[in-house]
Amino acid sequence: MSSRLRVFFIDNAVAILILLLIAFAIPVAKLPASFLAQEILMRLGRDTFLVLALLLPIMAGMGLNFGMVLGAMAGQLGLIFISDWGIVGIPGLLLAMIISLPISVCLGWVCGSIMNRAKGREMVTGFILAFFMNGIYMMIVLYAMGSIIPIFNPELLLSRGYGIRNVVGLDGVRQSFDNLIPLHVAGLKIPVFSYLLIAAGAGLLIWFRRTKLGQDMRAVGQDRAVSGAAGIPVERTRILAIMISTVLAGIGQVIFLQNLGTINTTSSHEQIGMFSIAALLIGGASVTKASIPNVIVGVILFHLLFLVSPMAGKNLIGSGMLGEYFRQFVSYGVIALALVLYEWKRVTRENDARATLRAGGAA
Amino acid sequence: MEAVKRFTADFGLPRLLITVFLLLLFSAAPMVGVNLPSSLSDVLIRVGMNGIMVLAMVPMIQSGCGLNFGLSLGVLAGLLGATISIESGRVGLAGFLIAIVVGQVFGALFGFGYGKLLNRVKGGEMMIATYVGFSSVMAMCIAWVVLPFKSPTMIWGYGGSGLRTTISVEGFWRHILDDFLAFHLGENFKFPTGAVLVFLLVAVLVWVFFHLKLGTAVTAVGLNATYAKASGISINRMRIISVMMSTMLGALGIVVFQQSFGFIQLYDGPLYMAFPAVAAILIGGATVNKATLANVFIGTLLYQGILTMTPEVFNAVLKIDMSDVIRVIVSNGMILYALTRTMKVAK
Amino acid sequence: MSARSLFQRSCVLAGLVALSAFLFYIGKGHTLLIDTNAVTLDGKEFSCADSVSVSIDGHEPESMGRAERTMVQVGGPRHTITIEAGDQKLEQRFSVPTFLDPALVSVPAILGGAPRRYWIGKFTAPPAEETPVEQMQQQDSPAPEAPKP
Repeated sequence: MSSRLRVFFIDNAVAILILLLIAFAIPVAKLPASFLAQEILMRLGRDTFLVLALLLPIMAGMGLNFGMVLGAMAGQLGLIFISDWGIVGIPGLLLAMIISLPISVCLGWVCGSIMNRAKGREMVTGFILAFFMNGIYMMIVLYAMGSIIPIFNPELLLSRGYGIRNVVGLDGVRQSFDNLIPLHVAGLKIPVFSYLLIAAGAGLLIWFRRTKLGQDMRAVGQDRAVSGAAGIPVERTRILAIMISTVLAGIGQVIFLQNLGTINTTSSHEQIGMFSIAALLIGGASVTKASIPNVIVGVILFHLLFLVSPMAGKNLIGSGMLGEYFRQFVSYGVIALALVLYEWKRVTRENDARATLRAGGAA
Repeated sequence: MEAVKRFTADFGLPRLLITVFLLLLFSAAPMVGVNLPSSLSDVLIRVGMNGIMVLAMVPMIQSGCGLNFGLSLGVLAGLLGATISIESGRVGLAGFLIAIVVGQVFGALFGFGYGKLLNRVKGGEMMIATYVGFSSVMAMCIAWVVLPFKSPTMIWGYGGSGLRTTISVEGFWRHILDDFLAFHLGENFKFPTGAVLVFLLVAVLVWVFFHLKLGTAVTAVGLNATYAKASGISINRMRIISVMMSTMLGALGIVVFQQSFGFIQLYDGPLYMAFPAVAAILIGGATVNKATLANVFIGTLLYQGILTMTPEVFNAVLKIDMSDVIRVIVSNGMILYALTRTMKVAK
Repeated sequence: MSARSLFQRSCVLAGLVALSAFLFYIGKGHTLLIDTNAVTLDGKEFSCADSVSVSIDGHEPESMGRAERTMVQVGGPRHTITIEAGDQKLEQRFSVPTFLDPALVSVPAILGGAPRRYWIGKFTAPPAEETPVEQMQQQDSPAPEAPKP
């Protein structure tokens, strides 16, 4: 195989593998195309914004931001508050986003600072930080709310008098974004406004890349030492990347939950990081490089896999659970594969550099 | 004042805080009506249950592979051992030994492959370990459903196929270690002699290993790879040995855990099992590149102490059960501290 | 931080706070209790016909008897109510105070042309011994109180 073809396959190994899997599974699952199309259209509107949040930290060289879960928690807290206060419709969602802003900013700052103290291990640190913050979030939501933090609507509280219930219905704001500009094409419902929001987010990121701060982030991502020597405040830039990512994750979580219509207080945010990262990687992104096409392709492929696996498993082996386990295996495996490829390439690059150095030195 | 400051910096502020917290809990316990002997007994049983898995962290830390977030691979090996043992129908010591031996075989196999993988990704082991662990657990989920097990105690009832989620070891080798030579003091305190003895025995074996030539080679690789290489040690080989050891200890650890817990947990069970072990050894004072047996003992004791005492005391005093949340905050906070601390030392 | 950027940031912050207050105002949801019970205001008695048809904000009209109460969820402060009683058709706008929830809308008061301030009132739930079913049947519950001018 020619060298260029080989490089192409290795670089896009993940996406190609997933494509093959899906191509195999779709006919096996025997799901109607209209159903798949409608689901994909809805899920695109729901999840894409969250995946967009991952782009900046990758650009800044901080890898996959597992800490985006912190932003999701902020968005969720915003929604809990507006549910408590009884704000409905679009104003409710907008207010939820605004409430999430200060929380996201603080959490993003904490996350970025901690990651700065663990350079070279940002991903593991973000990963563990997400779990840690989950504990703090639980403490606030299950113990402080209703006791120290005033909650006005007793229906939101647990029977013991404090702590938010497991499931918070978002009836007031359910699908408010999705339904704002309704569009039906060929019997499929398209959430136009959600798409507009995503386009706005993507547009914002594209514009940001051209600003001075965006260029700084890119430089820091490529080479920390050189950009530091060039006068860029490396630490501050990295923290800003994480802060913006967290804020976007908060907004994305509001969009996500308005589509679902309910908040599961304890678990709605837990898998968000994993799903979004898996989706991004499936779309062809890597730990060091990710672009908006990766986001969109990734969300589509990831959800196709999501939808098709249980039925494929059932039809193939007779157990829907197998399809489900397979899907989870693929989600985790994709991240593992992407990480392995990244580290492998990095190690090979370092070894090559060392070899050339020695060869050059000897000569 | 200076001495206090230095002691705190050496001992580690979080570790100090945790120790003080635990002592407070212990002293508060009798005052709020918590039965101290029974609690102490619980702590000891839990130390016996979890100790070997904490021990499993040591080899990979020492060889420079970092914290073994992929302990789930070892756990899966042990689960295979346990299920095969039950399938064979042997009870008592025979069954227990089958579980252990089969687990070790798989552990060595899994560890070897896992080690080879980690050798290709030096520097990014921890994150990869986590996700390799997760994907393996999920792959095994498929296996648990598909593998041709037949023992009626393990499969789904009513002619189903595939293993159940939780399998009881009652009647097979439940509490075989806990009860071995156990003695009671008063009516509430039971000392699980067997489990503690096995834990100590394995710890001694590990200690001996690291003082042999092979063990020192492994440590050398972790301390200074270039020097080790110059001394003729094969870095890759030592790392693989450490990973295999870690995985095999994990396989042993889960079988010991199961005999005390009473159940084999399949499917999702092993997913997050690495984290308490990681947290425990870090609480014991280990860092990402150095771990001693003292870390293992102190860490397991402190961690299991907190886990046992917090719910008992809090429930008695405040009537709230915050134990889960506290566990999450303490264990993950500890890991965070360790991840960020090393950088400071390196500077 | 320079004085100018401090000023800029404060403006943005103030803007967000103002926006939040605005969103709160236009987004606050209310539970409207459309009530056809007879009311006594300033000594005059207002009642309505045996059967009226009421619709809020152009939704499906609902026919109500002389002494009923229906619940409608709305969002925002301003709404219209359309009442059809026999051959009399009336459409009126009204606004709900932001922090009033639930709010009682008295159909007889609107029909009878009572002053605006009597249209929307505070709803006080009757003592808890009653089941919700009895409440809805209007047999023992007290008449809604009109707000003092």
